[in-house]
Amino acid sequence: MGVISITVPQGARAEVANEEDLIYEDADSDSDVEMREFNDNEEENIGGSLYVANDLVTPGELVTEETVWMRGHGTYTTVNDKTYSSVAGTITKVNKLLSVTPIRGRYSPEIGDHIVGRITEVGQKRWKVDIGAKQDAVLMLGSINLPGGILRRKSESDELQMRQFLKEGDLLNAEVQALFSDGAASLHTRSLRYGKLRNGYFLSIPASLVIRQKNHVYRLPGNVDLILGVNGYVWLSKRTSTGPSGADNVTITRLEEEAGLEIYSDKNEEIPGSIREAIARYSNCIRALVYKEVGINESRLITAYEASLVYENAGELVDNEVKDAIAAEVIAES
Amino acid sequence: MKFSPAEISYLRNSLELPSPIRPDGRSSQQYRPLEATTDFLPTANGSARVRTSDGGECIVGVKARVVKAASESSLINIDVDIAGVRDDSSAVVLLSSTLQTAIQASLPENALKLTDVYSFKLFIDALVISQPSNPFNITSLATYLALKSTRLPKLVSATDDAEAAEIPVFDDDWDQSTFLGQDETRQKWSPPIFTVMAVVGNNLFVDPSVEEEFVSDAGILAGWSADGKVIAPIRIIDLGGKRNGGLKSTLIYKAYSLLQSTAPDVIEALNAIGDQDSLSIF
Repeated sequence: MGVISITVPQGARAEVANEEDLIYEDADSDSDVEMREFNDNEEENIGGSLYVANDLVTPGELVTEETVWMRGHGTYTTVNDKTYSSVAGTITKVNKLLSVTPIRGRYSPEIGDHIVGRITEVGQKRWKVDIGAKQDAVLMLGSINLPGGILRRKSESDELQMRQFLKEGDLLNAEVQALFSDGAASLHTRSLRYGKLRNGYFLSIPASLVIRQKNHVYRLPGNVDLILGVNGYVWLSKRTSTGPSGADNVTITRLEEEAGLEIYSDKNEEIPGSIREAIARYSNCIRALVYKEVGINESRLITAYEASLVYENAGELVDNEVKDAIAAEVIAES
Repeated sequence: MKFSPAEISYLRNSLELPSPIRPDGRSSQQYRPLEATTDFLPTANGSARVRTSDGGECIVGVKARVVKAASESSLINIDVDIAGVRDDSSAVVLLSSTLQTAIQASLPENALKLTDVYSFKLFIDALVISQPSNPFNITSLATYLALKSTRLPKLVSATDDAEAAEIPVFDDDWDQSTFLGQDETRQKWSPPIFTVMAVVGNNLFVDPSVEEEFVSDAGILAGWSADGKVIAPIRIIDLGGKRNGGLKSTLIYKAYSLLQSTAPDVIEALNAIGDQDSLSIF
């Protein structure tokens, strides 16, 4: 295994073509544009319901000039009543509602999403949580479990010791409980599946690569648990009985027995080297899939992990060629 | 960037193990892959662009100007600009002064001399566009590549102007230009490189990532000259980790040997990029 690999960026030298060719190309493309405009005008005269040939639009592109469509997210209009796209993305039509779903962008929370977040601020009866969305989410003091699972109204003394539960920088997993009118999310952790995270490693990936599913907690081979937050925040940890995957079947009546006093602890358990290595390998597999823009789910990640076992040392997976190979194998399998 | 106490202890424990496990599985002497090009600025004598896999990017341009040697205090001027960091911050000052001293010391004596009166002066401008982790590595590597690709036009007027003043005149043909520091045998000069290693417990790591820097005790900065020696300054720098204080002397020895085992490979990879690029253009 080499110490370092340095490559020339792809396409960097492609532009250095024959100068004469470049001039020709320019002239060609000029006339192309004119032709296309002409064609566009023709279509306009005929009048089509939707403008774009494929579903992909760029910001400012005319989507339709018919007024029958209701304008949804990702669209805007001017005085002329035509509908334009405000983001780069694909067109979605539900009945008469026309919206454009952005290809990339910040995570937009929806009720029921299982997310991973990081506390940014402790405030009056609430925490502010960074979830990678436009605004920080809110976690109310009333929406958390108390240590020991005691069920009671939160009192003023709880308010004073909020930092003993969660403080700035702490990671937690939670569910989006409600949305405010400005799109900000309100979270809750009132289940043993949710709560403060420890015994593991955090990494952040684009939210667009996480596919919304019923379950976002995976038990992975190698004694590793994964929380794949819908917001693109990922938590890899050692599997424990009280961890995210172990707490699936706890009913509210057994909450008191199951919720230990240590649910807000900052201390990690003993984590053997083999699990640490597996966590490093999984995080590299996730990075490899992200590198090739492959959407991530449980089966793909396990395929990637198995494919990566060919490389004895997880460090080899940082190499771009190896990432390519892993992602190719995953795509071939799925 | 903030980390939770549980994350910090996980990262630190992993890195403190006798056989450490880095968060991305790299060995302690493994760099992250880089992308680099040289000679991409048409108006500069030499240039390079280096990108890291975590989104860091640095571009370096080298320009030469003809000056009267007697009126200049130094024939090399390095200006480092890190986006989002003040120009008088310690990181920027340390970077530019370290590079300036080391490059000046390693450049052959007459490499920039034109005539008895005139000489080239090199202006090296490094711009770190973005860099999540410490900018020392990437800037040093980009500067190395830029200097390696620097060409100076060929002088056609007389070199002896001690008595009769003469303005230097250069050959119009760029193919006649010579690489900076190239001697009669066309052997190329190689500038020094610098590398930052993160110290965690008794372990050392090259090319630390943001997380590794955050949990580190300190960083060790050391240079490597192309003729195969560890060069000054060998010093402890702050990588943003909270635990400051002294380091064991054994760690300095460890840094020494780590550098000796990795630096030749880094130089080799950099030279391969330089050669590849100069082939594709000329």
